[in-house]
Amino acid sequence: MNGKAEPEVLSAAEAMAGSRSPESPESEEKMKEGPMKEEREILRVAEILTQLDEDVLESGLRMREEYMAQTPPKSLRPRIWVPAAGVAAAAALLLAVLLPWVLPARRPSPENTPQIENVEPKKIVEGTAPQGTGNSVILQELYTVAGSRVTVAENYASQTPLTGANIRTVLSDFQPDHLGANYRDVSGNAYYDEHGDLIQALIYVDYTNTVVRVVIEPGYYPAEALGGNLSTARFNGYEIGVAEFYATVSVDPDVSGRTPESILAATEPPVPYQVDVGMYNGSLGVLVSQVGGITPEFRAVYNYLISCDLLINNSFPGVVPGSGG
Amino acid sequence: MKNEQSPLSDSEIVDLFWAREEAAIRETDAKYRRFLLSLARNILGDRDPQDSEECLDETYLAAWNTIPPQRPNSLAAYLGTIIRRKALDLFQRQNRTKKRIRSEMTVSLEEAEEMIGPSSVEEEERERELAAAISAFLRSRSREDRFLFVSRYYTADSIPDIAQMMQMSQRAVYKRLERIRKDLKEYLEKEGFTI
Repeated sequence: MNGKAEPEVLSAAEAMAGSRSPESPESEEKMKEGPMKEEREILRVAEILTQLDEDVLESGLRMREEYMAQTPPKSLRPRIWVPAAGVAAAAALLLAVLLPWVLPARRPSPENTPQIENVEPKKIVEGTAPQGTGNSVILQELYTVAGSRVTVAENYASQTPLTGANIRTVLSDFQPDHLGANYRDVSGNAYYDEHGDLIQALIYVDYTNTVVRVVIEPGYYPAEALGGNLSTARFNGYEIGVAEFYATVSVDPDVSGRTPESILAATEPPVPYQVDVGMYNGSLGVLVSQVGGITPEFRAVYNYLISCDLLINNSFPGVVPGSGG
Repeated sequence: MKNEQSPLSDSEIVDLFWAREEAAIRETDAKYRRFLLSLARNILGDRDPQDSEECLDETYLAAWNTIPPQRPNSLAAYLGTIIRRKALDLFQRQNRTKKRIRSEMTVSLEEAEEMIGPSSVEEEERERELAAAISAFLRSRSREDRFLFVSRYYTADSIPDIAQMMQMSQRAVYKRLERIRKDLKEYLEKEGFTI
């Protein structure tokens, strides 16, 4: 590669621009300012970046290759499992992303992260959230508001061979919110290793006969967790002791063709909202919160969640919108 | 039976191309298929996997037709550039006939646009200079920063994917990218580019 640009992309962009046949000057003006212009800009930036020097690309790509070698392919990551009977026409179901949440911080790195197999949790340890953070405040309040009713997804728990699994339920009987959200309950399982580190957290959201399972794990995902079957989970290549972890996002596209991934990508920081899942005094909490007021993006996400018939609302008494950051 | 051997080095594969051995394609596929497909998918979206496969086939063909006379030092960069062009071309053709589909690329490049600026002064010469300046800037950064930039803006990896690769939080990845963009913008302004 000599870094010289083939003009094909730009030429095509120009050709595309030239091929427009607006019906009127007005529509031409609109097109100039609309998606066509936007697309030309994108293609232009893409073209510039395609001309980066080889040594720079080589350096970046080599490191990417190294990282990729340690990362399981996307197809091996777990998906949200939805019982077939519960899936109606609305195929789009939500899922969540877990923003940094706060167990005692011990950052993973290739050096200090043990690779373990056949993990069998031996000991249950209460999770403790650092005080004074926005998340912990909100979770505490949620916990208080949600009350003490406990619902356990026993059928799931019984499928897992993980002994010592502690089933903890946090939130149930959410009040229907002013936008009509009305899911029944959220329950969760948390699994720890013998050092008290979180291995895996499972969140079950039960909404009108549809159970959505969100698998949350630090680091890599066990391939065996695919399809909602945890019975053979071995946690190969799995990392423990991670302070920050993510929920897997995986749903079918909704009718508009959007997916949570694309919505999230389009609304990346400044984050207009967060879907937080975390531990508070050993319990799991889930909520959507907004940061910095209601933005159009937040509204879009909010509407999306509603369209998925699944909403974890932040409108709880005593919770100040925006304090979840 | 599964081939347990290590993949050939780039120069060995290039030698196969020069020798007109079909094994060149096989070895290239074994070594770079995953990378190349991910690059195409990030641009085209993964709605129709055949699109990415089509770009991959065309990329192999282009490599076959251009090596020789080319002798790339880095096959990843060489093939990556080819498939990127193929995918961008397809992306554009599709968008002429269909409603635009947002892919990871459109999102990442919208970010990138803020540091590169609008196209008011759009000559090819300027773009080449700009690309060279960005390359120089990236050379002055850490290897990790180069990875972040290339991963996000060249291969259009999503922030969650980058975060997973780097074992960092998405927020941390975003912050670092934000910092790189800001520094790049300052650098380009200092170099006389009007952003």
